[in-house]
Amino acid sequence: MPLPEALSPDVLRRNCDPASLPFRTTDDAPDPRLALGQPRVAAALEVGLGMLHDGFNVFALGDAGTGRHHLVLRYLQRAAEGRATPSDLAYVHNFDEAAKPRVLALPAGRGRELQEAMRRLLDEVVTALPAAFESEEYQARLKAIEDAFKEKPEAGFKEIQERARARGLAMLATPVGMVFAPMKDGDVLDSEAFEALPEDDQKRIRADIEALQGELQRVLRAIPGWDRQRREKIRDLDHEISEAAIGHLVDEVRSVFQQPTAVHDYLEAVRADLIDNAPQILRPAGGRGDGGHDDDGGRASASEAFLRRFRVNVLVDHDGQPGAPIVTEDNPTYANLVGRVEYVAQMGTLVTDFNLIRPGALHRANGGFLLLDARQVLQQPHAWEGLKRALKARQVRIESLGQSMGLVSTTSLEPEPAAIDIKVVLIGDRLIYYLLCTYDPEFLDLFKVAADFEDVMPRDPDHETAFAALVAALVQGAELPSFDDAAVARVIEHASRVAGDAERLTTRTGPLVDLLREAAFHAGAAVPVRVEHVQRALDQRLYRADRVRERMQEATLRRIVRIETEGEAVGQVNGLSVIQLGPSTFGHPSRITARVRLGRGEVTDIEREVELGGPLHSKGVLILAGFLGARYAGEAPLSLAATLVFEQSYGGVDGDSASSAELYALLSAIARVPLRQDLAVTGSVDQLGNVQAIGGVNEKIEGFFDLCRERGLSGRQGVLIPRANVAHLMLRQDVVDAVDDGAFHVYAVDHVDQGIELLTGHPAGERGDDGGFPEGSVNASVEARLRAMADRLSEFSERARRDDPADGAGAA
Amino acid sequence: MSDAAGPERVRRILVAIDASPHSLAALQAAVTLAAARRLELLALFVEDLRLLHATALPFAREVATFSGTARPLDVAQTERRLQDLARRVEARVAAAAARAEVPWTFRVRRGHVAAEILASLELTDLLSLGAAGWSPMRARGLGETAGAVLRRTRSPVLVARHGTQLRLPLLVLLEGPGWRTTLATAVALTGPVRGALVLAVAPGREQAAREDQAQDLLASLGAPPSRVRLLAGAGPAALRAVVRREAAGALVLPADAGALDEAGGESLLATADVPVLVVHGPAAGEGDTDATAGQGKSPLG
Repeated sequence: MPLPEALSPDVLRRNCDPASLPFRTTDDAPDPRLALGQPRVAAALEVGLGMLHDGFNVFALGDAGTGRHHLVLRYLQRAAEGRATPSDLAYVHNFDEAAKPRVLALPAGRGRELQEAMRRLLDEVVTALPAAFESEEYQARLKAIEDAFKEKPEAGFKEIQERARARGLAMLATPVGMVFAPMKDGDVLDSEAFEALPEDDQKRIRADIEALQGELQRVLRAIPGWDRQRREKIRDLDHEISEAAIGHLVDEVRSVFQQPTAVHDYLEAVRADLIDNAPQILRPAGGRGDGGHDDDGGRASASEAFLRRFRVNVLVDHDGQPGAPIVTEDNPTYANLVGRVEYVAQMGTLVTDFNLIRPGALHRANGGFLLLDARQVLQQPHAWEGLKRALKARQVRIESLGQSMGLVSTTSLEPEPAAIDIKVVLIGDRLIYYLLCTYDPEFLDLFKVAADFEDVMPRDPDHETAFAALVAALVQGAELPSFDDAAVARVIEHASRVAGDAERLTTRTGPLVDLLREAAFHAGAAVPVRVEHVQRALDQRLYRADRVRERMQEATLRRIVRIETEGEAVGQVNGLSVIQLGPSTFGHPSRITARVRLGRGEVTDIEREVELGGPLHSKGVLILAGFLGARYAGEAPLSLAATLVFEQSYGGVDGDSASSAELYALLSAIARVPLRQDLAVTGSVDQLGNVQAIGGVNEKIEGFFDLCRERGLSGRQGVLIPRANVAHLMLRQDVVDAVDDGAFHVYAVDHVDQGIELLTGHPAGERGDDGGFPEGSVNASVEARLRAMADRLSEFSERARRDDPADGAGAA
Repeated sequence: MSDAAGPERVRRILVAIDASPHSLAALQAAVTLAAARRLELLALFVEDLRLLHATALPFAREVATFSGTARPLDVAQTERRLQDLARRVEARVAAAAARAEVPWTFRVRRGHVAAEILASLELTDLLSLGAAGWSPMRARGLGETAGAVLRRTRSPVLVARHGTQLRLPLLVLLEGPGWRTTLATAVALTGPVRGALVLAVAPGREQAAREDQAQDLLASLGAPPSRVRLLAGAGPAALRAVVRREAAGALVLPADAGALDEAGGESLLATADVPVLVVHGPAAGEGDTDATAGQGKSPLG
């Protein structure tokens, strides 16, 4: 097998040529392509926003920063432009049932007009009504009625009084009632004088008194009836006068609002109610009856409270708005979604009416689009249920949480539900999407369209050019000074590095905008922003996040953590691991050692034994044990016991990217062949010895490079990586430069045999026709040692059997 | 002009009060007057002897005005009620007088109501009383007691109705033989205050002369000249119209005014929206210079 060549510098990093970009500064960049790198999302949004059927709501899923909001909003704007402006929504008093305000849908702009028309109408009513009721006509007719009915009881009383007088009786008034008494010579008889009367007279007087009492009672009992008649007559009069005074005012408004029918009907009810009730509120005070104690303030507020019912509460006003609304609710609480009924404190109690109904996002987005953050909706108590209920029923019912949960049964207002036609776009993580799919059976019925955002896009010349335009748009969107082409090229290279792939670009533009802002900050007044500003921003970010990496490297340099970067050692190799801490990711070498002794074929992963190793790591170790056994001990028992460990590792280890390194250490330990310590290794192996791709290759190489550079580059140091990872190389420029100078090397390896040759300087050796490995090869040494161990083991077993025949007999 | 013995000098006011709504209005009017002119107040509550006699009869029944039920009523009950009523009345008087800082006396008498009022009136210069008592017909018209008192006294009588309040200006009717006494009494009650009085004269050939005489009389009493309003005609309606137009706070009438004839002074007293002060002219023989004293039939009779 040929020894792998060190990779040439030009494959270690794929630079972006500023000259290839379609502009020199971002000022003259072409418009960015919509949905760059997101063709799947584009298709989903076309369908989701275009289809008007129920349930075709959209869930945009993807990582934060991939431009989900921006892209969805762009598509929403396009979709909204083509749609009709939806109706205004208004709540009005329900004259049949005050607790259930009615909802009116009016053509856009008509809501405000109706509100204004009603306000003007009331202004006119409150001036016209008092005038009508103070008119001579009304007063005269009222007085006629009052007089006519006052006379009835008085005439009755007078008649009784006359009759009493005629029979020599007095009618005396007390605060409570009336007493009849016999009179003589203008004075009431006392009991003695009465006793002195002849018996017949006494009897007659008593009979007369009883008769008069009866008549008086008849009159008194008729009074309520007369009162009722009087009130009815007055009501009829009031009705007639109101009708004449304000009927035509309402009719004028009605003639303007012939359509929709609901509004016409409402105005009809307004007319009837005004005419029925207004006089009681507007009639001037005093001068009537005994209860003239009202003060004007009380009456004014009573009248105002009454007039509130004729207001129009415009919930949603689309006056002058073209197209359909796009509503984003940043705080999607239950009440902010479905609306609420507010209360005002009055005399220590909370009261409300339809004027205090407040719209929710669902009202405002009616006829258009509602954009919500899925996580926030799910975090708000009952917001998700409220949203689903509205989408299912195609109507919004405004009720408090207490009402909707049945906890509160004292109803205040039950506004009529408003019919809605709405398309909801939820934006959220993939995890949330898949959790909802799994646990909410209604979810997929309501959100039939998933717009799945890609994290990366291909990096080809076409995409690079388009990406440059996107960066330019980000610059302009963030209102930053212009960037020159080299600076943008540097940003593109960074986008590739973030993607961890020289052939891909990240779609997470959010963090890129932060980088652009930082670069502009470093540029200060310099325009355009140049590549060194971008580089400085990158360096600064790295430096800010670099404390832990620096401490680890320092510990290594001070030999507190032992990592060899030169010389040779048996059973010891430099592995490479990646550490992720918050936003920063860095690579760091680890010393992996292997020890072998006579045993029964078990390879012990110390990390797993102490539960510091994850399942993937354990899997890698078992695979290499499989490789070992099959390759070197196919015909004989694998008679070794090996232990593998990450030295000085006190945290967890996972992933199988160290399995090739572990295999090299193991082979070195078995064959007693030393390994070069100036090389570091990464890559996983399969049971056939092939070296397979791993993640974080750039960070790993740079981690070892940084350590070597600190100790001084010997010119022999380097890293072995799987060949499959070559496409991912986007190394730092200083690493590339070191390789260019021949001070550092990166080797791409396909098979462990290539790796072991590099690490030992000896050929690995292939099995010849005789079935054995060539003399002097590493594989031959491994095989020989394993065979020797097998022999030793069988010797031991034989001796043991001889020494203990009873045991042997027992076993037989 | 000398009316030295006339009633235009007022020092004590008698208010007859039985806690009925009209009588409370009379109390308020009396207190207002007393406070304005630093007068003393004598409040009188009469325990109606007729009622006590009536309830002494074994078959006495009271028919309740509100419910129409008839229940027995005896003397003991009546006594209790009267005492209770007197206490309430005294409390009302005390409170109203205290608010206005008016000196007051309260007396309770048992007897015939009108007679007791007239007897107490001897001690005072002016009577304020409600147009009617507890009668169910009290809403309109003049009660029995008020009518009797008006017929039998020569003192000025202020008749108040529930819902009315005494305030300036007073509308003074210059009619009939006793108009001078009436005007002098009005001046005595208001003091020489500009705008306190508005004079009303009936149209006719005497009108201009009457106006001049009235202004002269005012001057002689040390009062500023007053506005004069011409009545649109005879009778209560014309007078009521001027009261409304002038926003007058009381009406001052000569008891013998011709304007009160026929249509009836009682009707005016019964329907006026303001308290009405009825002033009797000088007794026959000592009458006003141009009066045909004694010839005017009392409108209240």
